[in-house]
Amino acid sequence: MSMAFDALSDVSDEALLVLYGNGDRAAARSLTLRFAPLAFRVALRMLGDRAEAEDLAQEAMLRLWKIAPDWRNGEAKVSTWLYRVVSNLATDRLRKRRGVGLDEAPEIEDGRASVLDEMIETGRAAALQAALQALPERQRQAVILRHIEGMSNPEIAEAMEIGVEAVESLTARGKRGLAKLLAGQREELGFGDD
Amino acid sequence: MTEHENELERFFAAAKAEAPMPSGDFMARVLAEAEATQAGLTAPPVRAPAGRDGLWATISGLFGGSIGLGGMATAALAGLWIGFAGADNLASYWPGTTADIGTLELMPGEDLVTLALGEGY
Repeated sequence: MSMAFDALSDVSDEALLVLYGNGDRAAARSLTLRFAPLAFRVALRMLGDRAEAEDLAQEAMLRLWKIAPDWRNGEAKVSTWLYRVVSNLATDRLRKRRGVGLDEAPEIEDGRASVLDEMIETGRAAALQAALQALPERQRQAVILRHIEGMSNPEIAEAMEIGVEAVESLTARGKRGLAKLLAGQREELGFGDD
Repeated sequence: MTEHENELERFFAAAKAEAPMPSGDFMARVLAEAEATQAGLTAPPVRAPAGRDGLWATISGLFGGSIGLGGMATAALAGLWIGFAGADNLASYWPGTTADIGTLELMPGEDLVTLALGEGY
């Protein structure tokens, strides 16, 4: 399906949401173009499964549509709100999938990279995606939002409903875990001569 | 920045460059849901069917419909007539004498109290 150009590209996200709540059909289209790919992208990076990511992203977007009439300007950015919803939904699904709580999530240990050997595809992006799946959920979430989505630490703190220091700790631990996981892939991913 | 951090940055850069894109079907589903939800948000409130929401229908409903209203109208007319004609004239509508109408005791009589006390209750 090809979607038309975002005719309201100059309008802020928050104003668009108000327009949507007032029945503006162009706003519905613009919001879909702006946020559905974002929701899908984060969901896919969290879950690692395309069909499940689409399902989750659609659920998150439905929540956005429903909250529109009650949206109060100045309380939060739409993107931060959506990141939070997607992250929470993804965490719930991961919990159900694994059947363990987040506190029980294991830390990455040395030698874990060998597990990746079976699932690594070619290319750094694919390798990173596979490594992300091996991180504990909260670390994965923080790393995705900080280093791939490019959010600031205060924004991540708001999205994850934790303090900025906790964000810094999660991203640092997540990066250490990724480095270990990816260490075994250095040569085949073009880092052999570095 | 350490060597490992540099490597990680290149992984992150690759991930950003190869951002996964959703399918067209997914985008269409999200937009359809957006429009359907929006239609529900902005739809006018549902009204009762025409012809049943007038003042008369509302009042009639409060008193149990036309049968209830008919009874009330009869009682009202009777009250009006009694008020106009006077209660003294009611005796002429009674087939016997006024003494036959009798009286109704709302409190137990003295005999009943005496009897109860005498029986030791």
